[in-house]
Amino acid sequence: MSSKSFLDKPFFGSPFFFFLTLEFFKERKKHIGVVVISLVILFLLSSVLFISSSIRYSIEQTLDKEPDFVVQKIQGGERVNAPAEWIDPLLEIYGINKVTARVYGRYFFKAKRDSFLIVGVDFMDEQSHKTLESIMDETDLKSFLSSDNMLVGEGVSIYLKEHFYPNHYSFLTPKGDFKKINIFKVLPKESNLIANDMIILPMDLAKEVLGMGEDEVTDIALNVPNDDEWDNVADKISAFYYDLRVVTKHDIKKAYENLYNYKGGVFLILFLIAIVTFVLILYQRYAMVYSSERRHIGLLRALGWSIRDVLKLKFFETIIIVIISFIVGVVLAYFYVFVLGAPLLKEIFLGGANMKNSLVLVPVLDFGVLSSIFLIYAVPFIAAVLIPVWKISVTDPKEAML
Amino acid sequence: MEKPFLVMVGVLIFMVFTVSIHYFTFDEKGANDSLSMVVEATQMAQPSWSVSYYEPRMFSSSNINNISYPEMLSTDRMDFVYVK
Repeated sequence: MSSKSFLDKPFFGSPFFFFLTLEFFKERKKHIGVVVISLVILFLLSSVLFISSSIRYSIEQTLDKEPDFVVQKIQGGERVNAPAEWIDPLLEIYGINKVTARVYGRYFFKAKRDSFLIVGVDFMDEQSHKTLESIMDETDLKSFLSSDNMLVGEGVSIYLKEHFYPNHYSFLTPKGDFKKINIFKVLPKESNLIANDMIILPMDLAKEVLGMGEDEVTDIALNVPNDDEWDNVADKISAFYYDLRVVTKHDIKKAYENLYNYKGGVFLILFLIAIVTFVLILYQRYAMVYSSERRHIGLLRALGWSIRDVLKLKFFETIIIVIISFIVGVVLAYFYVFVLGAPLLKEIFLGGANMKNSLVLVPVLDFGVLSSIFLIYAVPFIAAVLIPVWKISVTDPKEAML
Repeated sequence: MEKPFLVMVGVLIFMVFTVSIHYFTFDEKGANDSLSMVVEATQMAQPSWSVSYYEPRMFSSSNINNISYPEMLSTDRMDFVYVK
């Protein structure tokens, strides 16, 4: 058949298109197996990438609000409570504009089991005051401070209700006293990524529950508006005492960048499994061409199809399978992650040893990653089909049909 | 067989269209604002890891896994999932 065959007519509505669709649906049982396996791989890969990119994106959005430096007291390599008197010398360093004492710690509901993250907030601080007021909507902050109240994350609220504490909880302080604190409001579900196990208390109350002294803080956060001053300020702070550690926002940012990346243990295993499974699919396609389709290709060649025509037919057949698998796999992954909230799989990312977290994952589509997945999946797939098809096509049709 | 093929293409386009609608209509600002407000008030942005009692809940608060064998790493920690 010459190169100007019936196959060169416009694609849609042409005899070639009709033959392609006929062949595609006639051989559907053969294709379904390949599509299903490809779907599972693409679904898993896309789900993992969707969850990790969504969590990373949400955390990165909060970077601006984070303190530039955190100063911690170190004893024997471990962080211990810092004295509050460290705050005054820090305020004297030129370039520092805001120093905040942070009070936080874990409170165990049952010994060595479920825990809450207790965070003390200075409600007299103007910025915290405004932010907390907006979190609490129309509720008056004065009524919050009029008695012992707390703001709790959604996870804490559900947990306490399950343990018959719908309105309050009595904390056991290290001194052996019980401190009854009312649940004032549940933090919005959208903040679950950070605040699921969080309990926000006034600073003094948090210190009492955590058993800290009045002149102690967990660590000290501070801001340096001029980025060029960061190294200088870090050196000055480090020179104050021998037993302190300075954690910069750069360190935290770096940790976020590395968070859930492909080099991490579980993800490496997942990717390896996906790649091995994919190689198996290719092998299956390769073997199939050599057995059942050999006769079919020989027959087409005997009927007068050129090598180019046969390759064109197989190329379009494969590309249809690739596109169907890719679209369905990615759409299912999107639905699973961003509509259903990625049940089971999200526990790999956030853990499941403490409280359940029904976080809201912000849809993030990284088109660079998606196109990489498509190329990594499609190119070897198409090559694994076309190379053997070409090998058969160039042989004599009589030999091919034997 | 052209008709079923076109139906299949239509279904795929519908799936992509549905995802696009969800993606573009999602209230991303509301979700980010809630997170930012909590971070601004507490000065803390650590993800709410659901960790066991012996695992660190915060970055750079504790690195020791087993007091008896501080250099030993176990696979049942969240550290296993992310790179330090």
